[in-house]
Amino acid sequence: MPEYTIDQNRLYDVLDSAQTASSTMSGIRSEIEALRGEINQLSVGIEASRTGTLGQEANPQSLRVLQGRKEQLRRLQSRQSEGHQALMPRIELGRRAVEYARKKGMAAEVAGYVY
Amino acid sequence: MSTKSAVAKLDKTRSAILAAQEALASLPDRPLPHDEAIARAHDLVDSQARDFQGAYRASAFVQPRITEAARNFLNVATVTSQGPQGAALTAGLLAWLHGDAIKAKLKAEIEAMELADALPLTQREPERQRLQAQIEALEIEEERLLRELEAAGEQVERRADASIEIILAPDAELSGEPMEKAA
Repeated sequence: MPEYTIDQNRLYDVLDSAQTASSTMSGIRSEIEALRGEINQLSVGIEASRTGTLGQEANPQSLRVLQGRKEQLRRLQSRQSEGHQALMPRIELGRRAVEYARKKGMAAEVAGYVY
Repeated sequence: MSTKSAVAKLDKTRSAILAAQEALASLPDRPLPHDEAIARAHDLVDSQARDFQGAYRASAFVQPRITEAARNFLNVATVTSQGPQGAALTAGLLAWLHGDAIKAKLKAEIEAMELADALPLTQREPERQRLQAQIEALEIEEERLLRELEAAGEQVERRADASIEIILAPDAELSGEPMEKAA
């Protein structure tokens, strides 16, 4: 392959696109983690009210909230899966652009871009 | 070029890239042609027959006294239990004794094989270079089409394994115009 030069505008387009994709993915991941934590807490609360008061029915309101959160989690996981398909190529290109730019002596230009 | 025809051309180019990449990946597994495979098989038999050193072993019989080597000449077949060296000796005896028959049999077996995508050893490196050049040309074409679509306001994702060198190259370098080197 012949030696190509790097068009800096293109380099930053690729890096910014990867950055956006990476932020989107990590945003979805954070939402999923937060929801999992909430679901876990709700489940513990519901279980405690059942076992702690000898078979007392769980608060219907809490059950509804739990179901809602679980549904929300399923939707988010589906978004994560779709996002993974659509966004990973951009992130992968960003990673490779950083490596390539470093090899071409442009480490300073790509400093701070980590995916 | 209209957006529609650029998209159609992009699909076609990407299919061609995939086909060329597959051809490149399968290159090491392509079989040798009949004549080259037969020559290789015959060389092996001849080499084992040579390694047996039949003439040297036969010379034991012209000594006035019967030597140990002469007495054991036909015992080589029984030494296979002595490991790889014994097995090589037996193979050598077989090749020395029946080399032509073994070669004829191997030739017939190889000729009966269907080797549709066979490629001689000497053509592998040129073929590898040809495929790589083809992939590069196709990737340049793909990138040009993507840039054309982007200029028309269309958003098309690049492939994760597309050549980063080409993606980041200035337009002029992809169109074959004289390059203006980056500072």
